[in-house]
Amino acid sequence: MKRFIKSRGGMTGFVLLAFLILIGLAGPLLVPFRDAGRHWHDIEYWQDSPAAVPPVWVRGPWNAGKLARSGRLQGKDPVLFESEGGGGRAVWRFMLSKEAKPMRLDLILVIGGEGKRPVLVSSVGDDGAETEVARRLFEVSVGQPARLALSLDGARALTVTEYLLPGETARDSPSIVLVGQVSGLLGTDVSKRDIFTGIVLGLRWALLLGVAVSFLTVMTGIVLGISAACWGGWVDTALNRIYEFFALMPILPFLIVLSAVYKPSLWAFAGLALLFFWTKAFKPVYSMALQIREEGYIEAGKSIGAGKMRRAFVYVLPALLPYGFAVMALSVPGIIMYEAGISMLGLGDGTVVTWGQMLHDALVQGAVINRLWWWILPPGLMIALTGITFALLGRGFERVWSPDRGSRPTGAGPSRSGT
Amino acid sequence: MMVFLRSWFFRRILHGLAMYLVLVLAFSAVFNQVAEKSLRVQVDEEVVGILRSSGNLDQEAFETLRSSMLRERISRHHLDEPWISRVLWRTWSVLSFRFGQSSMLKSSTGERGVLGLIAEALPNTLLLFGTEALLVMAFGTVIGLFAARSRGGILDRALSVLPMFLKGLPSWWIGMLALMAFAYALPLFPSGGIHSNPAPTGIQGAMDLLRHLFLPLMVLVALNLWGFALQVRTIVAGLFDSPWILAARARGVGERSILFRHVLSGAKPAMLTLFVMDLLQSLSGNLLIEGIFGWPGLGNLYFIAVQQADVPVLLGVLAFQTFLNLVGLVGLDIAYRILDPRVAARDRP
Repeated sequence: MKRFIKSRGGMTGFVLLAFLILIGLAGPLLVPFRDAGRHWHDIEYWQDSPAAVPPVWVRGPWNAGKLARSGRLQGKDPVLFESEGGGGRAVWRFMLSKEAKPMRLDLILVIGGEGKRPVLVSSVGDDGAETEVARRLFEVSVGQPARLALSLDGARALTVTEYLLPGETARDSPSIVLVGQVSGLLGTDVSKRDIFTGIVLGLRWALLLGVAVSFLTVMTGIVLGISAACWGGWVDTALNRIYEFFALMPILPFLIVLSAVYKPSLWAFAGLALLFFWTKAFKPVYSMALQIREEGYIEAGKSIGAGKMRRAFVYVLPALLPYGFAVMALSVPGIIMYEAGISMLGLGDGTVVTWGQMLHDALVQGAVINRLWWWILPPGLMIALTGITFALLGRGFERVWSPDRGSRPTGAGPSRSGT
Repeated sequence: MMVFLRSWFFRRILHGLAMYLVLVLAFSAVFNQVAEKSLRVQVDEEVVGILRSSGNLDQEAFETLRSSMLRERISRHHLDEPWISRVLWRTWSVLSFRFGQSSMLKSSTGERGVLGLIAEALPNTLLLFGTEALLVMAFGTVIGLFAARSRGGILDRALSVLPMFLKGLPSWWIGMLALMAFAYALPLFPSGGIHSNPAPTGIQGAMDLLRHLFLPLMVLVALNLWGFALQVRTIVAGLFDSPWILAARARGVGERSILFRHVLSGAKPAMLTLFVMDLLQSLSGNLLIEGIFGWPGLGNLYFIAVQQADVPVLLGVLAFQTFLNLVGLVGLDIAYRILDPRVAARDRP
């Protein structure tokens, strides 16, 4: 019974982790903006999205009339009108969705192709009457579509007419981008970026950084702890002095100042974290290794001529690995939080998207004051979710693999003593 | 005197000082380059300022004077010496709390001394985090005691889960949410700072301070309370089965008295440790929350200094915080020994 309760948390952790990894890996396929990772700070990339609008699911029957969805309509199959002297017109008709009808509609007309393109835009009212909205001559170059921002009142449909010269055919169909009042699964930020995309992209970095750094730090801590315990003498003294040195530093302030002064990349940050976090595993491992060193099987090994190296890393190390896994899982949330804190100060690596950076942007661009909750909530919730996942996992390791060593004060569960 | 010099206390303090020396030495070596860079800029600004205000000089005289004054100041700041001696000089000035001048930030009186900025911020930080640690200890102890008394109960089970969930939450993020909810959506509390402008005095001033203190304080207490309670519970759970509690029960002492007088007194030294560690951890781990609430303490200094790229302030606050951390830990060791005579007895030969 006890085991079952104990492993339930661990299993939940496993399932959550699998889920997170899956999303992290499949990330680019899930998000509406696939190459957003490279273009997160690129204003042009996001120019067609609405700025600072809430998620689509805030729309209900009560406010549907006020909140239009954002989206893109691709023009298909133009109706062609040929003129007598060659050339003519190609007309595309876009039906605007009924729900967007009663309100003012902001949209961007995107015209691709190449060369000079005279275009006429008309809106179609409820009675079918066409009103001219815009008449432009676009100079379009390949790969750089021309854009025209328009606002319509009460239009049912939109027609785009392109005038063709003799011998020309319609080349690239235009599309219209509806700039709505709601957008995407999690809305957009002030810079028009899709928050859901940012959250999914940030997950990869959080997992990668958290897992890589915690693995390396804990392994370093274990190896050094065992070395100190098994070699003794000056190795012991030196390592414990170094431990003391790092353990006395206030970690977050040091990381802040180091980041402010040296502006590290994500990988350099990982290196800095390694420098500070190995101390977390060192001391417990050291004291456990001191005990294990005295156990019978180590003595037996010694009597058959096993060297120090062999005793330390073949006999003692395996006994401490389960504990190591627990510490690894338990230290992931801290690492993610430190990175988030540093990024929140605006000291993050600008080449990647992290949740901390999203929160930094939210803070400096007035998300708190303007109550843009969809911008502030998701990154923090993801930090929390990742934290809980690894905490559950860590406790699972602690309890299932080494029930007798799981009784550290922070991990103590109910009814450990007494019964 | 000789007794003190040979005593454990003296050795502990000496050891603490030695560690601080090593830390500051390493700190000076790592940050020497940036510190010197901002110092050189400051010296140059100072010289140009003096020359500008001293009347009309032609170009040539200006340059000669400037370079001679610069040279004089550079040698006064030991900037012309070899690297190792520059680092040692820096170590010495940090040890003697001479953190220099800020490059941007000014104190409320317009001074640019980093030490002055720290002295201005420290009381605010101590107010916020000291109150937090006290509240956490008060409520955490009560919750921990009750959880320990009814082991396996709802409170106890909540305690084994809550800290784990809360540990992964950044306090500054909760602070952002609290601000958004209770300062902007529902304007119940001020949106930041430590007092209204202009600051009221007397009773109203105290009320004003409390109103400003409330949100950051509540966020910190709500997050740290549960971990503290869990640790109290773990410590106390072991004490419940101890012989002197049994003896007290046999004497017919009431449950409440057992809980708060007998159990608690046995847990005092361990709880002192918890209190100090909670305070120190909060001071360094939750310092970003001050920036969110604009609470003018040490954490806010980091926040602003990062935005303004004010290196001298960053280095000064960091050195001071390291010092504070060390004082806390050494003080804790000493207090523990006084509170719990068993520790000293164990050390004696």
